[in-house]
Amino acid sequence: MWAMVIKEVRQVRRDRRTLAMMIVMPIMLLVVFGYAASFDVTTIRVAFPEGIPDGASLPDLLEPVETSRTEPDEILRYGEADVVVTADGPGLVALVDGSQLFTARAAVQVFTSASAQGVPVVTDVLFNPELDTSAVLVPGLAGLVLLFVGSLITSLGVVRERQAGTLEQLAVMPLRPRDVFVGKIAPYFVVAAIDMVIVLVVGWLLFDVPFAGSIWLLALGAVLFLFVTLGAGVLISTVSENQGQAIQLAIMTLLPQVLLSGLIFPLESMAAGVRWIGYLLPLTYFNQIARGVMLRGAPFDAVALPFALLAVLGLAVFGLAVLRFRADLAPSRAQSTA
Amino acid sequence: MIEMHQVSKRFDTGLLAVSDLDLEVEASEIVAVIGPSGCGKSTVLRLIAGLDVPTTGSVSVAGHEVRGPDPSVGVVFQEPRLMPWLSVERNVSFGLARHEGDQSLVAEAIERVGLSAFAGALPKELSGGMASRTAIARALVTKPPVLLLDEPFSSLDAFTRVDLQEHLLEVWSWYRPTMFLVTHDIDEALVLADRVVVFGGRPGSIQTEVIVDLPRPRDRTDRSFHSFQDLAMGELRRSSGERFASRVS
Repeated sequence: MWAMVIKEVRQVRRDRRTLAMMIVMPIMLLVVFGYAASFDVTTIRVAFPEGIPDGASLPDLLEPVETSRTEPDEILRYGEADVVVTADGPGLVALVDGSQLFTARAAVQVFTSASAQGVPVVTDVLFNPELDTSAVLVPGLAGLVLLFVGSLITSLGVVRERQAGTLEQLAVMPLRPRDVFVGKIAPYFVVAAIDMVIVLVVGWLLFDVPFAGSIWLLALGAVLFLFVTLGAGVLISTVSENQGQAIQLAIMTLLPQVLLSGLIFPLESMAAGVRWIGYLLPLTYFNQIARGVMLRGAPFDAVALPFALLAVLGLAVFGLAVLRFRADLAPSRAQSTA
Repeated sequence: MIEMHQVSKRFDTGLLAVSDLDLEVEASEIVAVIGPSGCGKSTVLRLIAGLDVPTTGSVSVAGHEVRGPDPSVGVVFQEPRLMPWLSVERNVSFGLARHEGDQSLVAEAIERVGLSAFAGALPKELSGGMASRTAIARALVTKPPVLLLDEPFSSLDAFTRVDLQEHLLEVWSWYRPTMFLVTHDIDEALVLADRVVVFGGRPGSIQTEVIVDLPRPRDRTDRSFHSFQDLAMGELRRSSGERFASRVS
């Protein structure tokens, strides 16, 4: 039995990826749950287009912000504030952005409490009036589906092909490397797109998730996001020797995105260090685009920043994937062009 | 047609597979490489195919330095590596759709390997020999000037192997490509090749070469064939023995 134990220890020690997963994963989960797993809202950004009413004292939670726009709906649609307070006759109206679920709930609580204490304020939630969790989660889940198909399924498909020797066979056939690359990922692109449409239609039919914005804008965001996820899938496949390794690596890239992209826990509630990790993850930006377009009806310029950052990530990851794949398929050719 | 000059290949693991190799193969020549397992035979083939990069030295085909896989070099691997959901015809024509007049080439390549009656069959409906013939037809469909064969018949039974060797010679007489064959089988090398290169040692290097100046088709029962067998076997034993001795020392 002792020999068996020694053998198993040696085997685990030799498998560095599994070892890394056994050590890194618990540490990562601890850090994530310690610093990121928080629904607490510490700040609510409030805009007063007509100025802060005289003599008003704001609770600590509310942070007045300057905005470039004056129309309350536009301020919220462009994400310049979480709440807009305007005058309505003798009283006030607090318009709350319902697409930021936890912030919105906290804001509703603050203003309802103020109203109960005699402050003449009426609360009105826009974009997600019932503050439905599903309305906020479904756009992000569509991104998760793209991530799953793009990264995990693609990497498995490419690794399977390499293990079977088909990839090498394709390399020596009269096909250009780009034919092989595009031909390899195009089906996954289509499958991911169909999956996303299914998620959105089911979300709309079963959970009444609104779709306030342009479907083409969301489609453009999805295409950009798919470039990143497919690129990540190909990258994973090029550093994996078998499907087991590909699954391990894919999970290691999926999990942080699920936890740190704002899909479940609001980015604003995370500790600064962990939040910055979230800013490096593509799902963070797709999430912002999907929620913005679907719930708030955000036009392109309102989500231009996440679009730009997603495009930069797409160029970097997809470009690297193309280079790695070429090197994998035809090493000497890649070297000669390098 | 194929030139290798001072070629060495060291893998990422640090293993030096081939060292200071010089080799030339003439146009339309059939060269077979034999040698013990792990002596770097397949590495040499992969370097010519552009699937691996030499660490030092140069490899060129038809006067052009090899910079990756090229349509002018066809490769047949040990396993047929057919697409299971495609028929023989579709496997052979895979990747050719953008060229005109391919269908006649596909039909001719299939006919040359004697599979016309099975053009519509799926790989699961083929015997091992037929699958190997399909792989050969696929490599030949563009009539590449160079054909590399990496132990293409090693997983087949002796009878099928002999049958396919004859087929391969018929295919060669079709347009006389330059052939570079890696094999474990001395008989196969002597039946097919104009020249047999005996590989050995670690790192792998050429131990000797045997010019097989027998007329084709070669009779395996002929006395002169046997003398070549003895010669090649002696050289192979010598190279294996040296390798064993170097490992022990």
